[in-house]
This record gives sequence, structure tokens and C-alpha cells, in this order.
Amino acid sequence: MSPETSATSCLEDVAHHLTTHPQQLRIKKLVYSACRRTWENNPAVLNQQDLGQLLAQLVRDYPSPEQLQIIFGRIVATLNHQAEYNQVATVILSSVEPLYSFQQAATAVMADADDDHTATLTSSAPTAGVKPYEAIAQTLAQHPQQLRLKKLVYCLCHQRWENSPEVLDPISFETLLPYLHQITPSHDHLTYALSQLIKRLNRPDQYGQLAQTLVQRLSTLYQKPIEDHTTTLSRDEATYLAATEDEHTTFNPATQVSNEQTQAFNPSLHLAEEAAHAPVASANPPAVKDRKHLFELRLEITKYTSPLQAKILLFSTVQRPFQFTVQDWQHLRSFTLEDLLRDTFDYCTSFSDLETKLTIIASCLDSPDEGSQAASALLRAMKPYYAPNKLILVAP
Amino acid sequence: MDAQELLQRYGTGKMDFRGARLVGINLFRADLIGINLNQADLEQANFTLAYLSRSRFCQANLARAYLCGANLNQADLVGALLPDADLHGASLRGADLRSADLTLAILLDANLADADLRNADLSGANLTGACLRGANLRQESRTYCANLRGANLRQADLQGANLTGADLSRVDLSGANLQEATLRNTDLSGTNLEKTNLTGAFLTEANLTGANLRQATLVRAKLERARLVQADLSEADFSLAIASDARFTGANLQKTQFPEAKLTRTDLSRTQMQYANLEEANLIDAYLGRADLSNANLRRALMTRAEISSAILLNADLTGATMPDGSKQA
Repeated sequence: MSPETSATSCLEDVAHHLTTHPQQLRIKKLVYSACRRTWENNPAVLNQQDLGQLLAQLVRDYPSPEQLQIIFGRIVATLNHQAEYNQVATVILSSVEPLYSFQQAATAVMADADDDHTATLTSSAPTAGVKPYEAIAQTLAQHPQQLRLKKLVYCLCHQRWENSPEVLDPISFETLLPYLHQITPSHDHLTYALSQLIKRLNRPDQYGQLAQTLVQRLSTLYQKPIEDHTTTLSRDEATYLAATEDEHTTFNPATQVSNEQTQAFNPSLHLAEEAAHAPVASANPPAVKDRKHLFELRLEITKYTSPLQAKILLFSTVQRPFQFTVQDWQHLRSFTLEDLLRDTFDYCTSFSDLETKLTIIASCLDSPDEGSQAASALLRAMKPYYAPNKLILVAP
Repeated sequence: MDAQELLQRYGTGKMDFRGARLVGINLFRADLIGINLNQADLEQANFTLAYLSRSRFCQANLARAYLCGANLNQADLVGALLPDADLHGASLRGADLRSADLTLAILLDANLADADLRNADLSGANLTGACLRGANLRQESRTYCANLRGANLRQADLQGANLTGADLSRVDLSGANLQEATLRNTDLSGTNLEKTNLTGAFLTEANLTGANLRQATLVRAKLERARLVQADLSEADFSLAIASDARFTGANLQKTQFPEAKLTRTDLSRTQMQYANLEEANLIDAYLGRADLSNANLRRALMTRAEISSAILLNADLTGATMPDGSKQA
């Protein structure tokens, strides 16, 4: 049996074991929370998620059982049934242990393969080093502010801010950089993702300087797009990039870091970028709408659905599925559309999260046609209020 | 006639049900687009989530009817009786509600954009979060005007609505959007307008006596001859507003922003204007008898012929201001 098939069957076994566990609902809630960074009680949402997929993501996001344990500890600390969930966490940790051993084996195999691949590529291309990530990782690790740099890189990779050295220390820059390079395939993607991240921090000045350092240190990755991209992109995309190589190389690498504007607006680069990464936002994404006043949003929603339909769907998402009972009507009346929209913004932190939840809930309502009509009206209207950078940071 | 019979007849193409007696009929989610129910008795009928666009309910009795989430876009509801009706989240875009009786009706989050509400009685109605953009509530004559006394309009969207001459006294409009709304000669006495957005609103000759306008935004608003006696305007923003001949007597104007506002001939006597910002404001011929302007910013303000002899100007910044005698401060 190949390592992949045995890993898959192991994952299936673990998933099966946990779904048949008497505490299976709590297990799913905890795993879901660790993966999606949000607590979910709604069975309709939870039932749509495959535990196997969630476990796979869990092992990917938290590369060691120790990190997983820390995360579980943090989540459980915020819950009211702590004793129960501590037991649930122990059950999950003991069950997923075999997955970590498989992952380590797989990583070793992949590392070998990568070495071979890079070797064949570098034989025809001039490069500063056989392993560019290793050299950059070393310079970053020696930086006096290496912990803060790691926080930035970690947040870009995991879309989650991490302050704890317990979690950060065991992770090396060398493991983070290839993934960072994969999700920010160009200099523009990196600077944009960083600028969006810096805006949300409470020390934008300090981290802004560090972001600048990061961009400079990583610039070597973006100066040689061909050999670097081929390690992460499919063969077709790699071929396409090779065909557009001229367009990339017409730029002076020295101006890439210092002159963002010229680069962003250059049509040839822009086209090449778009073609290679079609769903990724352009270098100048539209500004995110301010959530301070929601009058425009309310107006936009009620153009395509009745305000009540929109409220029923939002209520079902953030409270509980609306059942048309007297109690539900009374409860619904205690919220305004604006209240429910604000709760939804808090509950669904990204647009993809909102899309998943609204679509699932709409299909569970007693009139799915009207529900999906309301869902599409809400999604269309709410989209401009979410940061588009989430798209860039989503793992392929 | 019961619901089944009505739906059956409607299905065969019959639209005219004028004067029908259908008390308490249950037409939940029914599709009755364009139906004519003029003068029908529909007391306590259930039209929840029903499709009733372009339907006709002139002078129909819909008292205590359930119309939650109903689509009544462009419906004709002239003179309809809707006291205590439940229109929670209903869509009434462009509906004709002239002279309709909506006393104590629930219009929470209802969409009344472009609706005609002239002479409608909305006293005590709950319009929280309702959309009234472009709605017409204008007074046509002394006896033909919309009544909103005691209504709740919290978080309501009234951008561009015409409320000329409407009675909005003691109404809760907190957090509402009144941008570009026409409120000429409107009675807003004692009204709660805290944090309300009144950017570019027309408030000429409006009565805002004793109103709460704390932290309200009145940028570029027109307030000529408006009465703001004893109103609370602390921390409100009147930048570029025009308030010539307005009366602010005894109003609380602490930390209020008036940069570049036009306050010619305005009565600001006995006002509390500590820390107010009047930079480059036009105060020509203004009356500031016993006004407290301590720590106020009056840089480059124009005060030609203004009465400030009894005003308190302790620590006020008068750099570059033109004084009542025409002299300019260094």
C-alpha cells in the first residue's frame, strides 16, 4: 500500500471512530471551532461539514499534537461546559495521534521529492542557492525582531493572529515560507496581503517597518518567478508562466520593491498575473465599505427580497432556525434588520464563511426557493462589506 | 367565501372581489397579485408573506390584519383602515397610502420607499428601522397632513423624504438617516434626534424647541428662521450650515462645531457655547447677549455689528477675528 492510501484510510478510520463516539456532536463542535476559528452550535451547519475533511485541515493547520492541545485548551477555556469539553479534547487528541505520524512520514517523502524537483530545475536556471527558502529563513531567524516577523508570516499563512511563543517557536520559517510563497505568488500579492494585515493591528507603525523588512528579504523569491512557481503550481500554469516570462523579466528587479505603483498599473504584468491566478483579486482591489452606517446595505437588500425574508434567514443563521411559532415571531420582532446584520458580521468573519452558512440555512428553511432568493440578495449586498484579501489568503 | 374558494376563483382569472366579507381569512403566502379587494372586510385576515403587488385595498378594513413580509409594492391602499395591523418587514415600495389609518400599526423594518403617505395617520405606529426613502408625507393643507405623533422612527431611513409641515413632535428619531430630507416648517419640538444624520437637510422654519440633537450631524443643513430654543446641540456638527435668523436662545452648544457656518442675525443669547468651534463662522449682526463662549474657538470669525458686550469670552481664541467695530484681531 502506498503512503497516501494508508494515510487516507487512517483518516477515514479516525473519522469513523469519532463519528460513532457517544460525544460525536461535541467532538465535531470542537474540531469545527479549531478549524474555522468560530463556535458553531447550529446542527444544520455542522451536519454539512465532513468530519474527515475537518480533521485533515486540523492536522494541516496545527502541525504538532502539542499545538493542537494548546488550541483546544484555549477554546475550552471560553466555554461553559469545560469539564465535558476537556474530556472531548482528550478523546480527539488520542484519536488523531496516528494522523500526525503519517503526516511526518509524508512530509519526509515530499521533502525528498522537492529536492529532486528543484535539482532538475536549477540545473538549467541560474540561482543564488539550491534552497532559496532556507537562505531567507536563516536571515529572518537571525533578525532581532524574529518573533514579530514570525507572527506576521504565521498570520498570513493561517489567517489568525498568534501571540504565544509556545505555538510559534516550534514552527520554523522554513516550513512557513513555501506556503506563504504559494498563497502570495507575486510581490504585489505579498505587499497587498501585508498592508491589509497591518491595518488591523494595534501597532501598525512597528509592524509596518517589519513588513517592509519581510518584503525586502523575500524579494529574491519574486525575482525568479519561473523556478519558484513551478514547485507550487500545476504543470499547465507553469507552462503559461514560462510563456509570459518576457513580460516578467522586462521589469527591473531593483524597482520592484521601491516602486509599487509602477508595477501595479503596468498592464502587461497585470494581465499575466490575472491569467495565472484568475480568482485572485487584482493589485488594486475595491475598498471595503464602512460598516458604521448600514442604511445603504439595508436599501440594497430590500431591493431584491422582502425585509422579513431577509430577517428570517439572518435570524436562522445567528439564532436558531425560524419555525413560525408565536415565540419565534416575538423573538424576531425584538431584533431590527440592522441588529441582525451586525450580529451576522460578527458571526461570519469572512465572506466565504457567510456564503457557506447562508446557503446551508436557506436550503433548510420551510420555503427553500424564497430562502435562496433572500440568500442571494443578502450575499450580493453584503459582499462589498467584507475584505477581499480573504480571497488571496485562502489556501488553494 | 373561504380561502380555498377565493384562490380557486382567482385561479380562473377572477380579480374583482370588491366589498367581499372575508373576516379572519387565512391567505398565508398566497399569490394574489393585482387582486381588487376595495372596500372588502378583511379584519384580522392573515396575508403573511403573501404576494399582493399592484393589488387594490381602497377603503378596505384591514384592522389587526397580519401582513408581515407581504409584498404590497405599488398597491393601492388609499383610505384603507389598518389600525393595529402587523406589517412587520412588509414591502410597500411605491404603495399609495394616502389617508390610510395606520394608528398603532407595526411597520418595523417595513420598506416604504417612494410610498405616498400624505394625510396618513401614523400616530403611535412602530416604524423602527423602516425605509422611507423618497416617501411623501408632505402637508397639503392645514387639515391634509401626515400625523406621526408618538411614532417610533428609531434607525429609520428617511433620506430624501418630504416631511414638510408634518407633526413629528416627541417622535423618537434617534440613529435615523435624515440626509437631504425636507423638514420645512416641521414640528420637531421635543424630538429625539440624538446622533441623527441630518446632512444637507432642509429645516427652514422648523420648530426644534427642546429637541435632543446631541452629536447629530447637520453639515450643510439649511436652518433659516428655525427655532432651536432650549435645544441640546452639544457636540453636534453644523459645519457649513446656514442658520441665518435662527433662534438658539438658551440652547446647549458646548463643543458644538460651527466652522464656516452662516449665523447672520442669529439669536444665540444665553447659550452655553464653551469649547464651541466657530472658526471662520459668519456672525454678522448676531445677538450673543450673555452667551458663554469661554474657551471657544473664534479664529477668523466675522462678528461685524454682533452684540457681544455681555458675552463671556474667557480664554476664547479670537486670532484674526473681525470684531463688532470692524477691527481685526491680530
